[in-house]
This record gives sequence, C-alpha cells and structure tokens, in this order.
Amino acid sequence: MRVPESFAVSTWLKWVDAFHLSFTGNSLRGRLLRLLLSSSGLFLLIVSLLAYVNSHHEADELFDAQLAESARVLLDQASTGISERPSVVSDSDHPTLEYERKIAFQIRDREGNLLLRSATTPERSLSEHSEGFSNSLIEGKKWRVFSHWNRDHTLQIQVGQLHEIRNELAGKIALSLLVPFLLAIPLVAPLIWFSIERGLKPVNWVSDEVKQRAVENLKPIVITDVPEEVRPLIDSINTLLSRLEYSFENERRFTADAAHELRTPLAALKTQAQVALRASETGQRKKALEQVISGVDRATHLVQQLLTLARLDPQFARVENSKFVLHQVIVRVLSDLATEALAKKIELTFEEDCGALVKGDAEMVGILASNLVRNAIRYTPEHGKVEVRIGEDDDAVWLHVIDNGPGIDPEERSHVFERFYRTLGNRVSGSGLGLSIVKRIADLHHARVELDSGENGGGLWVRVRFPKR
Amino acid sequence: MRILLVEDDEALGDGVREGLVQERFTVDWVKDGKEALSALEAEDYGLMILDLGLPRLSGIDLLKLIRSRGMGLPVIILTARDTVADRILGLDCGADDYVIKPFDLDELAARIRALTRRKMGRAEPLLVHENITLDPAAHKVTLDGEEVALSPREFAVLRELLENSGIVLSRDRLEQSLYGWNEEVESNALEVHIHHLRRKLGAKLIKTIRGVGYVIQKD
Repeated sequence: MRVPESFAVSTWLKWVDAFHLSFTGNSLRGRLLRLLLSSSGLFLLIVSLLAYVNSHHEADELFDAQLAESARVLLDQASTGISERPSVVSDSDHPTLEYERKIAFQIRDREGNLLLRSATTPERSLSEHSEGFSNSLIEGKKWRVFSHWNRDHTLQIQVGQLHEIRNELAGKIALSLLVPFLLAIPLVAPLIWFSIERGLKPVNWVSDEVKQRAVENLKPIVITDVPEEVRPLIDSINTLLSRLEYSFENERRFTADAAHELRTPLAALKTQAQVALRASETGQRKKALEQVISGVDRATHLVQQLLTLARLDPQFARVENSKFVLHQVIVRVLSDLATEALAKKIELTFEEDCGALVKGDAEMVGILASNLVRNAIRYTPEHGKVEVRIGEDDDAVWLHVIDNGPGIDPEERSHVFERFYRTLGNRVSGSGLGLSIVKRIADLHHARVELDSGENGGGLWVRVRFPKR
Repeated sequence: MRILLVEDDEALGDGVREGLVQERFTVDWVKDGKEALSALEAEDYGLMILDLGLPRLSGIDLLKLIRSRGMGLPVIILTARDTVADRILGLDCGADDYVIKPFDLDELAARIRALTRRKMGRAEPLLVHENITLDPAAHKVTLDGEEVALSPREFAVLRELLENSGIVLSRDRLEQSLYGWNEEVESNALEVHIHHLRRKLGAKLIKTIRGVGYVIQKD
C-alpha cells in the first residue's frame, strides 16, 4: 500500500505548505486568516480579562460576606465564655477544603487587649479601622479585614483573610473559562482556513479562467454565479478586454491596410524596373527608370504618412498639456510648403494675424494644417488659388483652408476621412492617408472638421474648429 | 493579341503596358471600370488584366457583368487583395487566373500565354506548323531548326495566324490585334508584314482568301 500512503503524505505536505504560505504570502487567503486569527485571539484575551475581573469581583463579595458572617458568629460565641488571659485557637491541622483555613481572627476588649486569636494570626492589630471592611498590609502581605464590635461595645473582633487567596480563586475561575477557548484555537484555525478556501473559490474560478486563456483570446469572461464582490472585478476585466480587442483589431486592420496599400507602389516599382531591364531603346529605359525613382518617392511618402498616423496613437498624445499660438504654427507650415505652391504657380495666401490660442499639441496641429494645405496645393491646377484663414469666435478657434481645385462631391465627403480612400478619377498620386491623419489629430483635440464647396460653388473649403471649452 | 489592361494606378499601369508591349502584345489601358466596359463593348480583346479596386465600377462587378453578358475572354485578376477568400471570390466570379501584387512581369506574360493556349485548346507551348516553330515565350521563330529574325509586328501577325490556324482572319481582326488605341495604323502595313513573312518563311505558308482575309491551314 505504498502508493496511497505516499499520496496521503504528499497531500498532507501540500496542505501544510498552503497553510504555511497563508501566513507568509501576500494572499487574500493569508490576509483573511491572519485577520480572523488575530481578532479571535484578541477576543479571547478580552473575554478572559473580563472573566478575571468579574470573578474577582464576585469572589470579593462572596469572601466579604463570609468574613462578616464569621465575625458575627465568632463574636456571639466569644461574648458568652471568654477568659481574661489571651488564648490561641489552633487551626485544624488537616483542612478538608482548600480555602477553609485561610481565615484569621483576633478578639479584643474595650482597652484593646488581645483576648483570643487564631493560630496563624499575627499579634498586632489586623486593622486600624474599628468597624467595617478595610485593607491592610501586615508583614508584607495584603489582608482583607472585617472589624466589628458586639452590641454593648465590650468586645471587638477583627476577621482577616489574605488577598492572594481571592486573586488565586479569580485567576482559577478565569483560567477555567479560558482553557476551552485555548484548546479550541488549534482546532478552529484549520477550520477558518478551510472556510476561507471554500469562500474564496469564486475568486479562484476567475483567476483560473484568466490564467488558462490563450493570449489572443480577448472574448469576455463568462462566469455565472459570481459573488457580488467579484462581479465588479469581472466587469472591469471584461471592459478592459473589449477595449483591448477593439484596439488590437484596429491595429490589425491598419497593418493589413498599410501592407495592402504598399503592394501597388511595390508592384509598379518591380514592373518598371523589369521594363527598364528589358528595354532595348535608351529612351524607353530612361523613362522606366524615372518611373522607378518617382515610385520610390511615392512609397517613401506613404511610409512617412503611415509613421505619422502610427505616432498619433492617443497614448503618445500630449494634447492636454499646453496652449500655443495657432498663427505661428500656420506661418511655419506655409513657409515649408511655399516652394511646392510656387512650382505650380499657385497663389498661396494667409489672412492677417490672430493671437488665438489653441489647447493641444503644436506639432500635431502643424501636421494637420500641413496635410490640408498640401492637399489643396496638390489638387488645385496650375495658376490656382489656395487660401488659409484663422480666427476665433465665442467658443472655438478656427482654421479654414480654401482652394479652387476640383472639390469633393457631397456624397463622397463622408468617405474621404477613411484610410486609403481616394476620390474618383483623380490623377494625383497620394497616400490616401492625408485626411485620415487630419481627422485623427482633430479627434485628439476634440476638434470638428467640415468639408464644403468653395465660395462660388467650386473648389474645396475645409473648416476645422478647435473648441475653447 | 490585343489585351485590355484595367488598372487605376498610373505608375503600375504604365509599367505593365510597357512590359507587355515588350512581350509583343498589343495593349489598351483604361483606368476605371466603366471605361473598361465601353472598351470591351467596342473592341475585340484576346484577354483582360483586371485590377479589383477600381473607381466607378469595381473589378468584381465588372467581371460579373461581362460574364452575365456572355463575354468569354480570359481574365487575369491583378490585385493587392491576397486572402484566400478574395481569391476564391475572384475566381468564382469568372476570373481565369489571379495574380497578387507585387508580381513578376515574366510570370504575368507566362500566365497570359498559358491562358491563350488553353483558350485555343492547346497544351503544347510551342506553335508548330510543318517545318516552322514559334516560341511565344522566347519570341523566336525557326524554319527547319534555323532561327529566323522577325520584327515584333511580323512576329505578332504570325502568332495570331498560327494560334488560329485553320480559321480565316479578316484584315480588320488582324489589324485590331496589332494596333492599340493610340497607334496609327498605316494603310497596307498589314500587306507589308504578310509579304515579309512569306519572303522569310516561304510563299505557301500564309494563304490569302480574297475579300475575306488570311489563313494558315492546319497540318
């Protein structure tokens, strides 16, 4: 029967280990166990203290009554036959009861002469008090004394008892109450531990459920019959999971879209390179190689825009931090783009200064403005016009970019912010990301972007409103 | 053979067209689905290369439309969409082949040749007629094992006639297969090409059927 034996041993060891861990580790189980054990320990302490005080009090009353009783009985008997010569009453040699011989007494006459005393009693007076209860210290020991005169005031009796007897008794009573409790502790501790184990089962279910999950499993945790205390935890884990899933999905789609969008420029590069390689005429080879170079430029621009978009992740946004002067940002953007406009002989204008402050990130708003203006320059034919205006009203700072290019059809306006969307029949090669970048930056700034046609019906009028709040 | 290329990307469309012209094909290039539809209605194409993400009329919709109208020309889809589901959708909508960007121009040409072979009911990659052999992949023609130098146009005419051997091809049909939209058709150019072919490969090879066209008879 070796196997079950070693199984039992290992199970036992496991339990001991878990029990030990409960005291040392930072586990909920350990905390509960420590708290319950220490509070029940404290409870025991208080109970025994109270028991001691109470029994002491009861013992006091009992013994006091006994003292008074003994005094009266002794005095009555002494009054009838007492000799003038002091005599000693011996205590019984073999007390039958534990507390029996613990009483001492003295009987004196009116002058204070000692007439009678018990054997264990000292000769000096037990108490200064002549009537009633008192405490006194004799030969280093505490005594409780009852003094009493007989009716005609001829004899006085003092009955005394050592205090330690009372303490001993009270202590014994308290101890006898405490012992079952003390015995119970080693039995109760595993019981408490077991109950905690049972009680914390739902927490284990949750942690097992989370532990067993594959990394890519972001479906919500479904555990019915969860205690109220654990429910909020599951709810917030589920909320977190669904947010994670959304952002993973977004990321996945973005990567897929991006890779997809890179395929066409790459295909064009490869094709043009192969055409150049096989071309027999110099003219054809030169043309193909030029196409290769512009293809590389195009792919570079696309990668650049992808990186910009990736960096606009809300986690990295420093939107709430600062305020900046919109005018300065626009001036910087326009000076960067001036050469592109000049090359197409486009008239680029910027309205007068406005000191409006925008809350957010100057660099990001710069990217937004530069995408809008670059688009305007791209889509506007030669000798066209691109106009930038900024200003503020009661609740927003606004930026307008107006061009007289082909504009965007009203039904297409809602789609142009989608990634990689390109308008119909346009011959301009763009990344298809410019307006998504604009939208993303605007969203991060809680700004609104509106597309409209230009002043006389043609062209595009982009309005961005940064709320002041 | 005349090919319709439907691709909205400028640089890629230009590259594919140039590459296929180098392969002795005649290529017309359109940039959206509707243009492609009118081109298909107006001309007779031997094959279509179709991008899927097209403005105005998507590649899949165009494909469904032409198949429902009974146009049977071979179609090669050329796309960046690489999932299995996309490929299945493309093929099930009537495409004959599916090429994913970026692709190799040589491979694309080989696939075009393979589809052409199948369309003509051939398995043999070389076009052989008596002592003449035409290798569409290598652009080579041999007579009794000796290579014969042909101009690209002469090669195209010979290939067209050999692929359709036994069928009389009209002058119009031959010219259509030779010249794209922006190419000027010189009058009697076809006769000149036929004349050169007869001189180089023997007078009896190509028969003239007066008032109808030209034919190379089956072996």
